[in-house]
Amino acid sequence: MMILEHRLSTKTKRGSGLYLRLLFLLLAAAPVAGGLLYGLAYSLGLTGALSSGFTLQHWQQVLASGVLLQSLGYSLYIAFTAITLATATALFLSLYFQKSLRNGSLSYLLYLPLTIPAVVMGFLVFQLFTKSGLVSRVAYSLNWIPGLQQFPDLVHDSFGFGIILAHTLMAIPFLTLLFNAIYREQNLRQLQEVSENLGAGKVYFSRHIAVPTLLKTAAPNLLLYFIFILGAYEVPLLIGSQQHPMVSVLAVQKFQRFNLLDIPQGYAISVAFTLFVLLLLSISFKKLQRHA
Amino acid sequence: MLSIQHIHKAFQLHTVLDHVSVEVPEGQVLAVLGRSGCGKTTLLKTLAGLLPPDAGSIKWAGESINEVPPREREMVYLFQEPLLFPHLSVFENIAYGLRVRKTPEAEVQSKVQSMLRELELQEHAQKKPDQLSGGQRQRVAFGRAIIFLPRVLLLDEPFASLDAQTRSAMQKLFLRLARKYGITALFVTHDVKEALLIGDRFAYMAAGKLTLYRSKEAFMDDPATGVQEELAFWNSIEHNISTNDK
Repeated sequence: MMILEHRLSTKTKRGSGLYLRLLFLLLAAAPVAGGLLYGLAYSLGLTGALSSGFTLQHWQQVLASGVLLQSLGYSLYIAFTAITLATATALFLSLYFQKSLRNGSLSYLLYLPLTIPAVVMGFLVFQLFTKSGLVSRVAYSLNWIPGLQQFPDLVHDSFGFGIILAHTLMAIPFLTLLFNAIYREQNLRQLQEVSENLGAGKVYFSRHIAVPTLLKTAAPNLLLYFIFILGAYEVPLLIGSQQHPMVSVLAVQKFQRFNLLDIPQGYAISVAFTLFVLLLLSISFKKLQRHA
Repeated sequence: MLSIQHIHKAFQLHTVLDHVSVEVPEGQVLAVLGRSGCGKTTLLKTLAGLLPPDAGSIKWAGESINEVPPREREMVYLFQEPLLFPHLSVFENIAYGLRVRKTPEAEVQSKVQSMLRELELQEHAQKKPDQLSGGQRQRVAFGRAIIFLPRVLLLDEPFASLDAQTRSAMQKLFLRLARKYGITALFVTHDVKEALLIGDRFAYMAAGKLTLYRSKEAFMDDPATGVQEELAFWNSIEHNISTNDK
């Protein structure tokens, strides 16, 4: 009787595990996969208002024009620069302002920018760095520039200064809090005492122990944040260059044009970008697991 | 010789070290016995420079080292936990002190290999700390501490978290290496047997006060150390066993 009860309860547990997995697939994976399949079908002419059966024409147009590759390259440059600057700043803050972070004063200040939405941050950078913005006016009033027009192009510029700045400012608080949490979890304060006791200075400890430990532990989060910037939409739309749109902006431009024949190209760009991100994630996570 | 004179340390109104004075000749191990909270850890951290004393002097070879920062004191404090650097291999953990001192690579290789042999960890050289057992981790921490031959080794109940068998093996390893390298050490423990086994000289610490004994016999005779109590316990066990056998 006991054995029968045990078998039944094991079966029930297995059954509930299966249902939970199915529910997870239904809620998390199915909508993404569905969207991707719909986009793929649209880009191949299998569905949509003007569909005329299977065709590779839209993909050929997107790939032949080179606009997708240019946009992807530009997005990678923006995301890489922003995440590098934010990581470097956050590392500096979490290593050299440990006391303020521990006591709470700096951590409270860091929570504040986290509440600012991307659109607001975009507007803020726009207000500060356009030719008629606050920084330009201050520079003019201090006679650093002869006129407002002489202020350098920092918004809507080809180098993406505005986008990089906005994303860096948004990422710094998040990464600082992340590094600070890892600092505590990995017991780096005590490891610093050990290192000092073995004869190492603070710079040696930071370079050889703290930074590698923080970066290695935070690597999956850094990768996810990098992908978040890579696919960002609001900030590049507001303060990005018209000639060099980031991938999301490029795709939406195609969707919103008056020419309905451009819509499949928008879907082709979206699908290609999603596949690129999935490839990037799978390669990176495999590498991270190997070095774990 | 390490000379400690009237070291005093208090946290707010609570005195933790009450004018502690002791001398440890070079190459000798001073075993300090004491219960939890008696100030043993504070004494070691003060000597290592990790805590500043309120008063008193610490001298090495007649020269005051009160103002010498911890990284220049050459007095290594071995924590209760091994605290290995998590992303470094066993080899690199042991080599840390040598690399800090910019020792030539060939010398680093030969010294670390030799230390790995001493610690019987050759086959674990490339493993990360999380792939080792508690005893192995403690051996790595010990090797990392002595490889550059510091002036004084300060051991804070380093084997307390190990099982009896591993602990015994570690005690033997410590004794062997301490003799081989002529290590000057303060070995803090709450275990009477360990103190007797490890020490060349003996001290007892209670409520921030340190009593230094002239000899092992004097240490054993003092009721405060608990040695007599321990002996009486084992004698009674032996007596009971022999009575039952009859």
